[in-house]
Amino acid sequence: MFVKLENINFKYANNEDLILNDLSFELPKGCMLAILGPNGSGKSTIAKLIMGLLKPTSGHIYIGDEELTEKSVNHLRKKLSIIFQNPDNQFVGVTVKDDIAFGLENLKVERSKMQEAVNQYAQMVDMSEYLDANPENLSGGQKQRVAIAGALAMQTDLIIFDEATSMLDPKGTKEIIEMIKTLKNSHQKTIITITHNLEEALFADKVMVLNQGKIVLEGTPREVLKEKTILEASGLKLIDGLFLIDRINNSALEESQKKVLTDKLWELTFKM
Amino acid sequence: MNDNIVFGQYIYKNSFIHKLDPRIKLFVLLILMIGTFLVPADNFILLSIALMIPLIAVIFSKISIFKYLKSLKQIVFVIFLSFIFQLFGNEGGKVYNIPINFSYANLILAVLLIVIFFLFRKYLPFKMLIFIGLVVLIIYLLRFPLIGDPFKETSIHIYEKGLIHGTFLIERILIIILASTTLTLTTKPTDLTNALEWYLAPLEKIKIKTSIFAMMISIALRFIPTLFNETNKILKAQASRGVDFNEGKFIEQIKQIVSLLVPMFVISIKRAEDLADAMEARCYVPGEKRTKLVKMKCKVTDYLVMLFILTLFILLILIRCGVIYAL
Amino acid sequence: MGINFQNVDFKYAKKASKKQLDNINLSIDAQNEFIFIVGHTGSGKSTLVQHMNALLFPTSGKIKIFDLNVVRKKKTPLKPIRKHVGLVFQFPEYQVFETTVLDDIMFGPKNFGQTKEQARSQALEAAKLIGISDDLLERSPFTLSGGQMRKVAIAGILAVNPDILILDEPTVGLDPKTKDELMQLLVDIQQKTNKTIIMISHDMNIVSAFAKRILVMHQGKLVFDGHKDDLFASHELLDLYNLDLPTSASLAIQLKKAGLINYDKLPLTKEELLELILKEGSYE
Repeated sequence: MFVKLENINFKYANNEDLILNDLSFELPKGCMLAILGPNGSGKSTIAKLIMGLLKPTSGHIYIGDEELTEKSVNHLRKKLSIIFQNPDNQFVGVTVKDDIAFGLENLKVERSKMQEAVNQYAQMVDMSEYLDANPENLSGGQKQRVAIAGALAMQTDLIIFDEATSMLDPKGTKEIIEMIKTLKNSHQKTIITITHNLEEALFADKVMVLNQGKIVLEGTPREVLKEKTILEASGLKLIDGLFLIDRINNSALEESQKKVLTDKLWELTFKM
Repeated sequence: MNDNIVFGQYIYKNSFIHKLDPRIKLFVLLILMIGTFLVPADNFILLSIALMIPLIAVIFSKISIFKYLKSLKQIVFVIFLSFIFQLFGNEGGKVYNIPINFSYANLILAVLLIVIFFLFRKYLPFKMLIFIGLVVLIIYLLRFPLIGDPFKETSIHIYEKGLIHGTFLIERILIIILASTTLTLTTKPTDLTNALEWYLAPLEKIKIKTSIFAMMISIALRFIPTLFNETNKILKAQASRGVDFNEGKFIEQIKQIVSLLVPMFVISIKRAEDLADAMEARCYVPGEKRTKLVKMKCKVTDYLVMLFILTLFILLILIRCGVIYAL
Repeated sequence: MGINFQNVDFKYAKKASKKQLDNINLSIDAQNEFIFIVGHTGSGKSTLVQHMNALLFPTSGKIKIFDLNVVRKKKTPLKPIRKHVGLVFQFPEYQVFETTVLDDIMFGPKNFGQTKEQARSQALEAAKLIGISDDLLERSPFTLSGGQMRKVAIAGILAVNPDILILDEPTVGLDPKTKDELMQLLVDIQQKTNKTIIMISHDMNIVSAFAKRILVMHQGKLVFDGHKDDLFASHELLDLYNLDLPTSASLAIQLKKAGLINYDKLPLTKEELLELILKEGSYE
């Protein structure tokens, strides 16, 4: 197991409400997990806990075989990276190349290697032309791609996408989703994506639905997406294909027609 | 949305001055500043040599002279005032008498000139310079009563020493302003920060975390344009809700300012929290040693410039100490 | 006539070569319109709506808002224009500042010259319209969830009672359920008050479900002004301006390709598609 959470409880110091309630899950190396849930379900808290940015009120977190503690956090973070929601607020450098290099500078990477890595990963996210650009002149999608390049350059095992597309326009969203697919398929990274869009969970290996700090559903995308009632009760919206499948199954159509239509819709939903 | 705000004054040109190491540029500026104040008063030749240095830099920087004049424009008035103070504050040397004869015709003419100036002020370039010229012209005009007898005759005394001190001061200010403008026009703010950090690095040895200080400056440079954009948006959002700074009672105006400040603070705090998370997540540990992507490298020209400036500086000190009487 | 643009150009700087708005001609009724403005980031959507609120002024051309000219002159009062047309920005964080939700909603009407009592009653009415429950009114707006805060921001403009309400991407960043809820509220408000509502959105599923009229902006030009069916039926237009089809429309196209359904008019929403599927005879 690469990431393991054990009986995690979390609440903020000034508030009695439990944000996370006895949460446990495991994620093997190279696996992609999608965490679904409405705003306020505690899904971003999980990301911050894994990154060691918040401390659980009780419970244990393991990265690799090591427990995440105040002592080990600085060293374990070298295996982890995260892309946050707001493209502007995570852009540390004054220019694109400064920002990609920021993590490497912290890791005390040699200058020549750093320059190489900056060029290599800028190219990978298709930002080579913008190395000297300021963030003010970049779109949200471009800034998120720079953040991804920064994470890749640090060569971490795990990348967390914490609602990384929710502030982007459709074009930016598509770019980032394509990027996540590439990372999953050709780079064998361990990935956690946190989102409230079912579309972004379709290509994950494992999906987890969170509501009010608890896991209410867990399984493969196909298993999870069939649980219409639980999904809707968790504040999620069925995407159009699934909505249609559900209604067709409950309709007066002949069984054979139902099967042809739903099979096709199911296939289309996963292809899109 | 797309108004590209370029922070700082940096203007890109492919020039010898631009390519100089920022550390050298900072060093030259510092030496020049010290140097101009070490030049003995009334030694115009030495000061003129000092003035040559920023002037040469200005020419080599390939940046339009108007950009420099713009930065001078902002302080013309201050220069003028300090000149006046020096002029009348020093007594000694030869005395020049400037007779001032108040006659009605002349006074009317003077008032007329000023009125005309204020009427056409909007269309004039270099307003302040023209205004100062106008004042000098009026004083000069007052010498010659045009029509009728003057009702009061007096005169202004100007001492040679005052004149020299005043001119000297102007020249000193000119040197410092030109030199620092050259620095900011030809050096990116980030390069300046790096240079500053390099100079402050020795302080790390006595446990002063200068790297944190440098990181703070660089974050500030990164976010000032963003904050500027944000303020603009907040202004617009509140304008849609009827905020208008040109009207309303004092109390209402205070409320309107609060309506700008609160969102600015709230957004900035959120931003700071997010940024801290993002930096920490990327393994930033405050005060810890980091490597740097950008390397500042001194080239032969950098050393030559430094050598040149140092030679001049040493010569100046020798003159000042009376070792050399050449000039 | 509510809003009228005649040959409007806009540039940020006089010498700039790029026009943010390029020869815009447009008229919008004072009542009963539900208009969506779509287009890519940087296509001029935001610039366009800021002209409608007298936050930006045309470089050339004429804009009339309820017979008031939008011109940058010192003495032209802008408040009457802003009283007619209310603009809600994308992020509520840019405007919410008071200590309680109610006070914040009252800020607008007070600025437009209402007495405290009037402002209060208008604020309460606006809060009711947008579905802010009474127990939230005395809370600090900064303790609210993202969705609730958006509602407060919209109520802040609604309370001024403008004839035309403009919203700049009101649903971005909200979860799907909150998104649907907010859209439904806006539709209800439109029907109850007959106000014209103009909305900028990237989400074609929302656009196709709610729009009566669509404006497409592309590189500062208004390239399409018409009914949604005409836009989504035209592959050329969508390709040319790089716009997506709503999910159900693309599903319908695929289903038709597979020979499972047949239609003359492309269904745009999931409800339309479902109806088509369930209707006998639409498939073999």
